Amino acid sequence: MSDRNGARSIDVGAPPTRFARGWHCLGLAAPFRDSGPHAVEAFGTKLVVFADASGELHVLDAYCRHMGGDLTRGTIKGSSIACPFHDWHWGGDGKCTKIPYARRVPPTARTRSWLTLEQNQQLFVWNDPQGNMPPASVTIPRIEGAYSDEWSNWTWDTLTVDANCREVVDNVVDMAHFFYIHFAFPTYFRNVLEGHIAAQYLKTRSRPDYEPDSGQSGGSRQSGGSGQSGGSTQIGLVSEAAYYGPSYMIDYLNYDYHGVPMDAVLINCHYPVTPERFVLQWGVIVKKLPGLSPEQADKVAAKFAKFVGLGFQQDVDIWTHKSRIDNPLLCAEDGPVYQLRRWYEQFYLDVDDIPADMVARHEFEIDTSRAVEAWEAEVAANLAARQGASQPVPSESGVGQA
Amino acid sequence: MTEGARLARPDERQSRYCQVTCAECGAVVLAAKFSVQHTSVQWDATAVRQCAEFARRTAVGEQTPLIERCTAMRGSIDAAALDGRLPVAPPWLG
Repeated sequence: MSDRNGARSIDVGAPPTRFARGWHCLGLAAPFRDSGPHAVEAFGTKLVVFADASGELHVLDAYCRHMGGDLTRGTIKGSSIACPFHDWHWGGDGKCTKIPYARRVPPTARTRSWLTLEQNQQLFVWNDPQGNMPPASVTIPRIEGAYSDEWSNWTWDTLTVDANCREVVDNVVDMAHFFYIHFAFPTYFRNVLEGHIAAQYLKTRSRPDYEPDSGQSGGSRQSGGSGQSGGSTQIGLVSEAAYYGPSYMIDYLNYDYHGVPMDAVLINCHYPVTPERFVLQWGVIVKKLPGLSPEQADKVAAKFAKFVGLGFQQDVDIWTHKSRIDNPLLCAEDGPVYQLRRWYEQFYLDVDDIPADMVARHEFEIDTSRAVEAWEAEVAANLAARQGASQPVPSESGVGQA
Repeated sequence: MTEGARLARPDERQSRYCQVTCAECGAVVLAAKFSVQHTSVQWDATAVRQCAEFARRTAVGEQTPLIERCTAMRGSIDAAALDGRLPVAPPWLG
């Protein structure tokens, strides 16, 4: 991997030729029940999502097996989706239920139906290139806050990214990028990879040198972490996150909100569109503080989601410009990138081909002491630079901090 | 065999891993310490089954991947590092 002068080469490898086995979240369930049918481009094809007469959601391949019509442009009739081309009716189980102009339906008239799951008010489909059902142990856990009046509603945002989805999964072990990309200051970082679960334990400090609302709400903000935005009020954040399978992460967070500890749950999930495109999605709920109305709680969640979104936009900017790299060059203070990718590879192998060491428990706790030292100096320098720049008009601090 | 399957690449930093036996239950893992604060532990299925702390916690419904650490194993690794059986050194030899 090095040339004659010792310069290291990048092995770009190639994106996998198939899509990961596992539950993939397609979004919040409720919007899929609104009228419809709905189109989702995923797994190298197009899917149609529709609600039957009882409100149950079904997912089928979008292209009609008769003459290839697009069912997402069709009509829901009873509990079937009818093709706009010749009105063939397809049930949620994939069987053709009716051809109005034919005496009988051909016995082989069946299309691909996708196994679905509704959990946490979200809709999931099971992808398995081998066509197997999910084992009982591989499921999406219930988030209690998603079913409680004591919590806000979900926010939900999506971004389409032109890169292979391994880029977002890599984040789970990438301690340093939280400082440079997500405006966080990690002080503790630990991963546990085992079975189909990849966990991350993270503690961060606030970044008094970073104000996400800079240039937007000028005078209402004070420097030093007492502002209105989700980012600047995070004086200490404790995060316990885990991927359940290849694409759905639940992140339980506790952060400081105006001096009050706030409990939040962040979903970070994605589904592949093609091997080189995926849809990134994130959603937030927060636990209502005493005295907060449901609307105020939704606003708190929205603020936090906006802060998360700013970080993801910066991720996307990195991903769409970077090289795929199969042989990352790591320092001692980097996380277990190779072990994470070994774990992630299981979802691209036939179940019988997964070696024991691929899913064996691996723990990795990063030494953050050098990073903390370096970042304290960087934050102090940023603050000093801002102080200098803002001397003439203190209330405008943060505008022009570049 | 899965079409297009690739072998997982090894971490270039893994040369420092040494065996550590848990003083509480006898489970054996491979551990590495690149520095005093850093710790990395590779378990196999036998060690996870043998771990007394994991057994106590899974008996009341926890899943081992969601257990942050076994405190007894952590103690044994720290002890091995203190008395020199487990080197505390950056991952590159020489």
